[in-house]
Amino acid sequence: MEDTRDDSPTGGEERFDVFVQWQRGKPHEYAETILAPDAEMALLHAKRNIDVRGDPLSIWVAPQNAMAKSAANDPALRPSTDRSYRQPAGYSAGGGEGE
Amino acid sequence: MTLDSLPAESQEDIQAFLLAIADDDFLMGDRLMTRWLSQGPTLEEDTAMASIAQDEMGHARLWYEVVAAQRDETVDDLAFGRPPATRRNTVLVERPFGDYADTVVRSAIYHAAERVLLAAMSDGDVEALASRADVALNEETYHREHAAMWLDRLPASEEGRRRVERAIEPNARAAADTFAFDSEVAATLTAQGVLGADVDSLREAWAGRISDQLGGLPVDATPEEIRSWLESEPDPNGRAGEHTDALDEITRTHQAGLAGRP
Repeated sequence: MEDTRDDSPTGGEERFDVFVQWQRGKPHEYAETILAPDAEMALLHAKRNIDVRGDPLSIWVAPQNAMAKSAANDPALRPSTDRSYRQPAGYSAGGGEGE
Repeated sequence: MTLDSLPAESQEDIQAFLLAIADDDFLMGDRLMTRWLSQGPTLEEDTAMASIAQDEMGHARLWYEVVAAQRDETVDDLAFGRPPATRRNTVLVERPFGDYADTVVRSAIYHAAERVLLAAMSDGDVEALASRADVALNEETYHREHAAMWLDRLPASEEGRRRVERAIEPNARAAADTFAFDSEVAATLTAQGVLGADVDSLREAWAGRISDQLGGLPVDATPEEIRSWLESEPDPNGRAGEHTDALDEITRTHQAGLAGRP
């Protein structure tokens, strides 16, 4: 029988990013990237890879090329002016005039 | 009821059955691991196969432990120390794997049989066996899903379709011994409540399910043909201790490993 070890079974895998929610009320966080022929198969692999590591609540997979991603060191993500006045810590709660 | 409360004269038959299904799982795990570990078509498939192989080894342990506790033997004695002529595994699991389609087709046939047997043990009256069957059944869902997903996807290309097609008949014929237990053993299993159904009805459920699944693929084999291969006279019949040379080879490898053990 022929050896197939260099062939992918479908010849067309793509990358899926895997996001896992570990606790109720917490966000899904990025966990890993896997190769699969489609989303259903990606989810099967992701479930198995993640469940042996812990006790996840929910797992999402998304094709990497379906997500728009910012570039590394995108200057738009770096504030150009001092924005500390926007932080709630800049304001005191209560105790003001008239109270 | 407990295993020890069953009549002494049925214990040997029950042990023979437990060793048969333990040998099935042990050899399936061994074959998957030795064929695909670091050789899988993708890293993801590599880990999937290794994971399934480890599950099967774990299931083998569940049954070897029960027998080892009844005899003065260890799990390792039972798993590695028994010569081929005393093994009762189906010959389906001892043959070396060919390509990935061969592995997927064999896995589908094997896991379908395992599910039917485990479900019958789960429905049985022997608590120690039913609870162990439930543990194994819980892991089997993933094994079936994995095989089913590949059966749906491999025929998407002509090459994949052809490889699936050529894997069906040899695997279906090799699996014909899966339910060909010694008739006395089979009778004991039902009479003592080890299985919640008789072996013939389990064979029918399995052959019907898997022949529909494989025969529904775009391959040149109808469900009726596939069913006739699954229900053909087993040759050889692993359940009667008849095996292929492949089992001798696996045994030599294990014994060389044992000899090197400190």
